[in-house]
Amino acid sequence: MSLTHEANRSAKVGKPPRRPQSKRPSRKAAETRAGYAFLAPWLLGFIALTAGPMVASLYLAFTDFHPIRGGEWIGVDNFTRLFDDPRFLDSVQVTVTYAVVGTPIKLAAALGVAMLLNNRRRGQGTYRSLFYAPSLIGASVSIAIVWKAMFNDQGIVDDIGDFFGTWQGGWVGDPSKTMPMMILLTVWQFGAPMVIFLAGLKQIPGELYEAADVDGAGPWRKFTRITLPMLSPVLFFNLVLETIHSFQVFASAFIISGGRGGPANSTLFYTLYLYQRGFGQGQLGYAAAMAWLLVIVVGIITLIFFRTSRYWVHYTGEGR
Amino acid sequence: MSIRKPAMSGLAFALAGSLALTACGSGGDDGGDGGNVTLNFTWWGSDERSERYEAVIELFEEQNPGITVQTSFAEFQDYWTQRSTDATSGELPDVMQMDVSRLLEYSNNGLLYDMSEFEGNGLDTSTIDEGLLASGRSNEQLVAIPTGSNTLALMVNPDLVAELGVELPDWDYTWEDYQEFVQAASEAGADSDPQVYGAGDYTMTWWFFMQHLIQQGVEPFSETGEMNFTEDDMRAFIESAQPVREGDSAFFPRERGEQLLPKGGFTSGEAAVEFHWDNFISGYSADLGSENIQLMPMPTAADGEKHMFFKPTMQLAMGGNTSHPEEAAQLIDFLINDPEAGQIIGTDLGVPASQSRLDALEVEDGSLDQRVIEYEQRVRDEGYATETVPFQPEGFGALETEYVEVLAQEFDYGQIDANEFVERWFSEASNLLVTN
Repeated sequence: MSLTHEANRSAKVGKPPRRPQSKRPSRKAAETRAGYAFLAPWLLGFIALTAGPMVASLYLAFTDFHPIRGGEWIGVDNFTRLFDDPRFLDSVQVTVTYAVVGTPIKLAAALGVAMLLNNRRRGQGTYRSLFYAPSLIGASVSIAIVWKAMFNDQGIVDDIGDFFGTWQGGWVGDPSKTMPMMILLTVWQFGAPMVIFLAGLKQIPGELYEAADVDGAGPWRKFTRITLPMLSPVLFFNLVLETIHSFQVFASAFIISGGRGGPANSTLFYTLYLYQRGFGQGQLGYAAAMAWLLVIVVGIITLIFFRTSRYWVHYTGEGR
Repeated sequence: MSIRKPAMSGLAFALAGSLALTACGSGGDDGGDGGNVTLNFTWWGSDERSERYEAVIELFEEQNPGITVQTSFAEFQDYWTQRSTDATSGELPDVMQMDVSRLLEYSNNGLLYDMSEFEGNGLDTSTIDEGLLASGRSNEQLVAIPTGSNTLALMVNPDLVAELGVELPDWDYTWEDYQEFVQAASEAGADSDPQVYGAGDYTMTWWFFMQHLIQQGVEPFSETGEMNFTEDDMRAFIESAQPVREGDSAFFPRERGEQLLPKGGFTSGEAAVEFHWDNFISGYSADLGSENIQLMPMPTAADGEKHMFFKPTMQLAMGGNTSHPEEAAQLIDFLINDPEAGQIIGTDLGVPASQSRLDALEVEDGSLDQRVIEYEQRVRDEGYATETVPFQPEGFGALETEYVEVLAQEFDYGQIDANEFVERWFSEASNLLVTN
């Protein structure tokens, strides 16, 4: 989310200054000072709450630090131990499955609904709000609890399943059904990428579609030849953002499995396992090693996205 | 548009924000002025236990104007996650429930307040059973006060047993008798809706492994934290229940248990019996919605003895960082010794450790409290309790968690077999167990 805010900000900054430049030279220095003054609260917060702890956790990753006993420098032992840890491998598998399956479905749902909402019709504001609503509440604890109740034995989903003669006996206790349940929960929260897609769709000049109509292009051809390429920067942005998000999923898995990652490790997401190790078992060094491994892997994945983007992301020279 | 206006509103916003932050920063501490003291008191347990504690706290506050007690509670595993975080930041509660399985972890690292100075001076320990009180002494300090004693028992739902039409074994039953009973009950309940079982897989509970070792004459851990059992011991224990596991209608399935959380099979009326600590009877009764729960002792070992032991149910300790040690000791004294408080708490924290409180406790005939007290008395009288509680080295709690929470889950879902279970437990144990 912070990235979207950043984007909004820079868009505003990019506007030409309305006030004519002042002639006094000191004015600029004063503005710079004021700028830093305004930045200071954030900067202090960043150093104290983000950068500092990150450095500390990097150090911890090479120790066997325990919150009560303290710890000693053990070099890369934590990292080598990781690869002999069956639960670590389980957690990687769970998280990768979630990201690889969940993210495309979520983006497809977001794009589909965005295209439907892009047409001018009565009450479109209401529709947009309604489709965005799950994203506002979806990350909350209460929704995870509701979700669990819905998918539990004799929950509403089970009843619907019974009606159609399928899915007996609840999803929550069945390791093969918890992942679909988790993916449904994230797909349902497609509001944020949807809004960004909607903004992207608005940017596509109508003349392109008109020209395509004249040439006799059908809806599918217009979608693949105009919408997708024109939307590719937005698609790229959403893809990167949602992939990173899906690697960070924690709260919903924590609530649904009661913090255990069960049944049978099927909801043992990477961050949940990290939490279990670090705070449940007090192996903070091990957890810090996991955290840094995640940072590196997500960094590499993002880098791959950026490197491959030149082949499929089309930036138009000028907006229109 | 002038640049001033947004700048001013931004500044105002930042100021408001920083004020809010300062407010947060100073909020956490106690209001020590005007003779008013605020104590933090926290525990693990069921809602049922919390209702008892809250009633006792109300009484305490009434009798001690000037002391306010802020309470909080959590489920057992989350409780320890919270305490270790507290310990790191030096913010342990003034008074907290403590467990022997974690005691050394906290006391060895100087995180608990030495209550020796209050012994007999605000904190009356004279009526507490010597053996139990000793469990709270560590490094020549008094760091924890036991609330009571408990012992392992077989909880029985007699209504369900009758419904199934199976016969309960006698008190001198063996492990084989127990397994046969479970199988018979599961078979009888196979057609019920929801399906009813005899019991869950007891080999997946850490304390029954401890009890099993003791029955074999093995003291699980030495005082230096060395393990006195081998991989073969653990494997043999897990495999001893294999005959039941392989049957068609066997142990209560984990899958069903997951769906019933936070209740279990027994407390949902879907399992006829369950091994547990005897003081759980009141919480279990509340969950089950029936007072009709009976207690039976552990099965007999091959040598004809039961080798049972009494354990301090739990303890009360003070965070080493407390700024109101005197008032905290006062609260502990009240919780341990006050007869009125004792009447409210009953046997939920174990059969009271303090003899005077036990004597003062008025139990109704046929009440749950009476059943627990009578059960423990009978365990003593019959000579079942021949052992002392096993030594619990630093890291014991984490070993239990690995066994019960992590590996048992994978085992029950058939993801790992007994060999892998044992192998992985021992490999984790080397990281979790602190030897000295």
